[in-house]
Amino acid sequence: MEKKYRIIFHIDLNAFFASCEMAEDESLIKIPLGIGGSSNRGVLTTANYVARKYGVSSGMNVVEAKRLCPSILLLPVNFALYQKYSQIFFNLLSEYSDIIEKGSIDEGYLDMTDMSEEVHPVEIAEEIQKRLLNEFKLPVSIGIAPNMFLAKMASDMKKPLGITVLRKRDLAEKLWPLPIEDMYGIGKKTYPNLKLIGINTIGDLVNYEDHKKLKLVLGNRVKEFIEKAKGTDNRTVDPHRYVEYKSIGTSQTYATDIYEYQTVLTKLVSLTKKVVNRVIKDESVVKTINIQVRYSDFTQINRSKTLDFYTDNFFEIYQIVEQLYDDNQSDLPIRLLGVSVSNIKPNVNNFRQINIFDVSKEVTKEEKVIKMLNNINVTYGNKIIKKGIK
Amino acid sequence: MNFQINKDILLNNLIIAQKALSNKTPNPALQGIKLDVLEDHLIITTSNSDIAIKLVIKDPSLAIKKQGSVLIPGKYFIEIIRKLDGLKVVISSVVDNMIRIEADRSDITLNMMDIDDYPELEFSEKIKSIKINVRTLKTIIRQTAFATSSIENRPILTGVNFKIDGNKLIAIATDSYRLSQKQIELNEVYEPLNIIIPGRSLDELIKVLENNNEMVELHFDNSKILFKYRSLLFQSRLLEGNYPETSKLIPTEFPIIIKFNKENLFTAIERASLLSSRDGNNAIVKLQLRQDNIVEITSNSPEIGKVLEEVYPVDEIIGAPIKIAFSSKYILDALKIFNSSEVTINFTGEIRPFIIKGDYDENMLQLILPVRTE
Repeated sequence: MEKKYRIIFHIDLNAFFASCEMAEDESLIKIPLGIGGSSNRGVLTTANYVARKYGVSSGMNVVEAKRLCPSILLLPVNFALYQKYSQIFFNLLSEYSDIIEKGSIDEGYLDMTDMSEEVHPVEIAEEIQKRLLNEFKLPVSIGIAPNMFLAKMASDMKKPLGITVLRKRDLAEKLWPLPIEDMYGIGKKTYPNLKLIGINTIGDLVNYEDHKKLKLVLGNRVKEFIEKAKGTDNRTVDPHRYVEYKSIGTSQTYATDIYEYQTVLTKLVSLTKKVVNRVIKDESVVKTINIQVRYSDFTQINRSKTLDFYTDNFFEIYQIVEQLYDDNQSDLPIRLLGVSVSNIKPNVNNFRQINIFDVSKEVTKEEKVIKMLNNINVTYGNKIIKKGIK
Repeated sequence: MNFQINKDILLNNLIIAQKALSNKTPNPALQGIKLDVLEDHLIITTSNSDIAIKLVIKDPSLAIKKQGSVLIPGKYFIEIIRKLDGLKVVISSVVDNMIRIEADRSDITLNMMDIDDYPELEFSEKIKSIKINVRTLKTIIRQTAFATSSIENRPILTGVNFKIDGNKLIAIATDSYRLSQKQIELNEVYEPLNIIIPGRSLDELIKVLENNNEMVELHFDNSKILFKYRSLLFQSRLLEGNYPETSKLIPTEFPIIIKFNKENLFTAIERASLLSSRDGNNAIVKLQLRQDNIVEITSNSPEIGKVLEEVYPVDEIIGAPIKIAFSSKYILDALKIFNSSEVTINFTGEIRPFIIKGDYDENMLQLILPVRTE
């Protein structure tokens, strides 16, 4: 029989990128540390808790961070290192539950309902937290709640190294007084509009009566948000969700604004190359291509296009990137460019349906390649050369 | 309004009218069926954003006591008439905007809708029209509409392109992965024409046309087309834009030609597509002409299993061995609409379109694009 209450953990690695560096080199623990921001125009992705005491926070630009904390040590982003620790983190979690959903590189949801029958959930949480800290120097905050949303909110309530239990009966006291921008899922574009219509706290959202007005702000997710704010979230911890939804992307803030169209294209080429290389390394093919453009006035656009086939071909992907950029050009100088791909699947049996409108240009090209390969193989022996694709 | 009519006559007309009834519509009035009771006939009108239907009923069983126009909630009206006992039904408007339906021992009153909310519909019959035999028109639609695109990525491809050149009518549909083309000869020479009719409208149209040798009149302007058949007026919007020029995309020289028994080929491909992990019947099937002139149909899903089918071609084979892969759905769809029992597949290359033709399907071709299996 289905149990009525589930016990969900949300485990969040505190200041993850900085924590990885400190785990590698203990001498960094006591000094203020920031990650990212290779130039003065860059932005910190993370700061450790020593730096945070000076008022430094993630998302802050380098100049501001240096002003607040002149002694701050800035380290470049090192994804390989974070991947390594992320794996350690999830490996350890898998000792406790089979039902784990990756929220992102540094957070995960665990369904602990079964294990909690034998051991009190808070005891398990304490053990996980202690082990991660002692064995790997990784600090985490843990939220314990009856569903994923509340667990996520709970893990945020006490950082670093917190363990927070959020039961439904605690909502009025612990959740509803929180400012609306702290609600998970409410973005920084949305919360100012909520404040405009008088919603300042999560509690305000629960009690808001004018659903029509709310619909203007939240669109068709009104019901979902109200339900969540009331403590209801019917999602189950799904080990496959992260894999399905993940995206591969990269973006860069430039030291000086870009004015020239040609320069933008050069940058887009290099960003696309990076992304495509990761796609190939991942042995994946992708279908959706997304670009991000942030202008000097910090306004930004995100545009995407979904192909009707999967690909890992640079030229096919770049063509869309350029097209997306061209279709959305603006006169404003550009501060940041980003390219990402999603709709990713493993590159096995990637059959590609040929499109009638592309036959002449594409197929002719490809046939030449096939012919050339055949000629080489015929002349120099079988299979001496083949395509670099599985 | 007050009239009496044979129940089955009314029901049969309502079932036709239902094809243009909207379930989901921003305009609730379109969920209604409009009845206009005139001196000696009855008009039933329904419409949605794509099509509009107008039926004129003159039947010996129709006895009109009082004229008038009403708008009746379509879904309930049809269900009530469908379920009624008795041969005759009397329909009348009563006070308080109600409509009363009496038949046998039933007496039903139904709230009416406000007829003033119903949009003005213009069923424009032009002086110039094209006449096509019903059976022929249905065949053209059946053989092309299935190849239209079902996704709105390129809206123009959701329609069938009708072109008239002299006394020739050519209908073309493609979703970019397969193409169907059918040509017929008309009885007269007409002015050139090039329109795109939504595939979905045509799907509904063939459901309401009967199979006989009467003529359908086609009237059209820039934005809509009207099909006139007996007492039925069926109007559809047209798709705006230019249909891609497809004639250059259809190959004309075929180095490899293989003739099959249609049934044998169909069932072999159908079996080969059974073991597929891909969604729907969208299995990838490989066809290989071996040196010994036997055709091998294979499919392989590592997680399920594999299928090998041998098909013996009929007649001599022209050309060299070939290996080609394609989506089984496209070829099965295409084979289904052939009347011929033998079909020829004309190949141009392993990653180029191939064309299916049949001796008894003159002036029709089915083109299919293969898949690359890199």
